Amino acid sequence: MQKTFILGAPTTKLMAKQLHKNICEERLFSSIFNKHSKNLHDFLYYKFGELLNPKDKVQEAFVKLWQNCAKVSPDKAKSFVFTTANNLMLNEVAHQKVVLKHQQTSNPKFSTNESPEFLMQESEYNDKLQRALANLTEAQRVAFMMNRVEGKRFKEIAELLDISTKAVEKRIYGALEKLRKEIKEL
Amino acid sequence: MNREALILKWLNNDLNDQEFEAFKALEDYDDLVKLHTNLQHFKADNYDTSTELENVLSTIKSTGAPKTIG
Repeated sequence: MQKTFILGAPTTKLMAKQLHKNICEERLFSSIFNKHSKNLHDFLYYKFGELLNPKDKVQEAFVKLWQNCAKVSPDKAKSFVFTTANNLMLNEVAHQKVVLKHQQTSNPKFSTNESPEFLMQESEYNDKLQRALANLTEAQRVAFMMNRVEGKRFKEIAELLDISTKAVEKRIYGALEKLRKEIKEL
Repeated sequence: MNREALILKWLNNDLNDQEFEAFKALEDYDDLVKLHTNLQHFKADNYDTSTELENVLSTIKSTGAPKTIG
């Protein structure tokens, strides 16, 4: 009895795997989209900036995934869309410096209650920060912003980028030190 | 625990109460918090996953079925 149960488990798993062998099925395709598309968008945004339309590249990459759905297994889907979207970007980008847009939608209280001197200092600080962010390497900026702004932990970023947690730590800490040094100097 | 180890734990949201006190005592605590606060101005554009999914599904449906069927 016990033996049958133990033997049964892998067989069930194998069957489940074969049932979802490809992603030409709207429900499975949609669940892959829901799981990865925002991370892919944020990755492209922090790496290349907003000028090259990261949202469009996400769309294109997933349309290509659908076109190739019989050939791409579910566990390769993430890497397929990341590689495809990254290549679409590289086709357009001439590796100029990426300047991240300063979002003007900050806390409304902030702009009404603070002194003009304070607001001036904030604006200078943010200009310096913007330039310093542009001076990071792409790899540093992606890992750092995913952590500081998107709230992801080192381990999640490591899985997202297919690198070790140690490497993520190194990128993020390196980015932090570089930003602080540049903000002081600029 | 040295400065770098404390900052790494802070970055990874891993500080316990005692470590958090040590972190707050670092001379660059205020600078780190200011940097973190101001970084939020550079957040990526909003991304609405369900709208984007609708868009991609409608593109797929208008361009027809996949090239090959598994």
